[in-house]
Amino acid sequence: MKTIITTLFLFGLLLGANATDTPDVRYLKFEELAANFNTVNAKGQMLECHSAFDVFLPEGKFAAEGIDILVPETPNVRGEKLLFLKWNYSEKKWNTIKGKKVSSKTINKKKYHLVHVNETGVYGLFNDDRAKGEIKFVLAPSLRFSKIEFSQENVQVNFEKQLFDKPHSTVVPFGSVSILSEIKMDIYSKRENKTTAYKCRLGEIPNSHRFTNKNDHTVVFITKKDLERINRSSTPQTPAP
Amino acid sequence: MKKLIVVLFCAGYLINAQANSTITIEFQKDSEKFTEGTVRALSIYAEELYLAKGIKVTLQEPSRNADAKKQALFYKRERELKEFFKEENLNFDRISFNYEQEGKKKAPVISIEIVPHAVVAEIIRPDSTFTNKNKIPLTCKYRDLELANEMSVVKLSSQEELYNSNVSSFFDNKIIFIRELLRVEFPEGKMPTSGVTAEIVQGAENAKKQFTLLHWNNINKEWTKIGATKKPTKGASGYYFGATFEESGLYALVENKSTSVVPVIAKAKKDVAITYIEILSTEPFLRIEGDVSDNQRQATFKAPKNIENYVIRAVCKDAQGTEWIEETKVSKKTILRFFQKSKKINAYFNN
Repeated sequence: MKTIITTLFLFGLLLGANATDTPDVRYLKFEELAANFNTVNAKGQMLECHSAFDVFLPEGKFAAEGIDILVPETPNVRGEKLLFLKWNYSEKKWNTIKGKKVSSKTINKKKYHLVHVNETGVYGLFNDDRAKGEIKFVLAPSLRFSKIEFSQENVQVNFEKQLFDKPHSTVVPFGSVSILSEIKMDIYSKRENKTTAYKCRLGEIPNSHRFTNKNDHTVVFITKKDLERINRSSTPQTPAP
Repeated sequence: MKKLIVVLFCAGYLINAQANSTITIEFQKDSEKFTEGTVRALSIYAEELYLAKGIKVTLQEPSRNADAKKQALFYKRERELKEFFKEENLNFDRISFNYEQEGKKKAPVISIEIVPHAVVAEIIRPDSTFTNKNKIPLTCKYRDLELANEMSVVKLSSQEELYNSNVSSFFDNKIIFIRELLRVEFPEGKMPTSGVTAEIVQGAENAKKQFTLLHWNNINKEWTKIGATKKPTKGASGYYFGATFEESGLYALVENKSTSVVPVIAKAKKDVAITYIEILSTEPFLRIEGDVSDNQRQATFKAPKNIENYVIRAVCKDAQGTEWIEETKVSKKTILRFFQKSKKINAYFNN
């Protein structure tokens, strides 16, 4: 009898807890976006993220009907067109959602983008204008890339790539690079036979090692001295396994 | 002949029957007591007043700026009359009180009119015009008098005040010339029931110019137009613009003229990133935010063509994370001729 009462009590508590569940929408700050997600589409093109949010919909009414999310339009930008994508955790990429479009709504003369969500997950609104240009990183002869990560906060872009063939150079498909963009590199040294992680801002690589080629792409040469200096200015890191 | 006399008599009787009885209420000097004549008149009309379908009371109210003694006496006299109505058991549902701004020549302070039709019992008060505690000439509804008396209208003029106001120089996607930026504050965040109109003094040189009043919406970060675009009005002490304020906040008096714009490009040093940029000018007040390029190396503006001198203020950052503010004065002298020809004004930072 006691067991039945306890079970019923716990069941009641569970029902009570579920009844108070409400949807939760949390905007992702750039640091969180850059740490956990890239901003690249299925074709490998870089997308500028307008806003990303983590949505939790409890079972029941909200999951059945879904919720509308309003995101303020960027001031002084006319005809802003955005893509609405959902993060696919298994494929680690942003997927388009069938039948979901971005509409607009005006409340108190203020304009918003409106999206409808009926599943828990991470969603993002991206500028429907694929970034052009590229930045190429070239290492000194005895060094090889095993991983590169590039992020730029002002336009909310993040690119991450594991380089299993350990190339001597690598390209990030983004041309409007700022000196404040952040680069994280796992670099393998042939001589020392070890991989070291480096993190720096583009502006920390000397001017003379950065130039624009005839295609208007940025090329950055990274020497051993640059890496030594980066290492000195930051805490030495070991690459993630 | 007899017939004619009868017709005239009837017509006279009819006209007389339709004429309203008016009683002038007179008071003893510096007192709220009725004069003997008034007491006599009221006693004669007592029955007529009691049976009247409607009574209209007209009161000549002193101005808010009038002597306090005079005001106190008027309100005592007003109370005395109402007491009389109560004593005579008059039905207040048939009495309307019409207040007029004092000033009508030879008009009695208080007069009572007995009308042969029903009236809507109401209190009609004219807009009050007065100079408030903060020396601002104002016009407002009677019920907003207390609020208007306490309100303040401050003109922002220092560079710091203008900069901190954080308002935009765009309205309806056009650059605006803010001639006056005003901070209006009603006490304790209250709002008047109707707008309070303040006389904003204008120089004679602005007499023929058209002005628009805008209110800054701090939530949507945009201007809202208040009332119609109009020229300043000529008053006893010069020209003024009648600005109607309905809530506390920032208001701008904007000159209504179109402005031709020129593109401005500001470029930063190679090792410097621009994180924010704006153009500032004090006379007329202008504050235009620039669009920083994705690579944070340059920024573009649309600046008014006929502004001689302005400042470009930018928040810069280097790769080590150091942040500072860079100010560059831009005048026609610093504009490169080459770019002027191609209709571009270029401002470079200290390269």
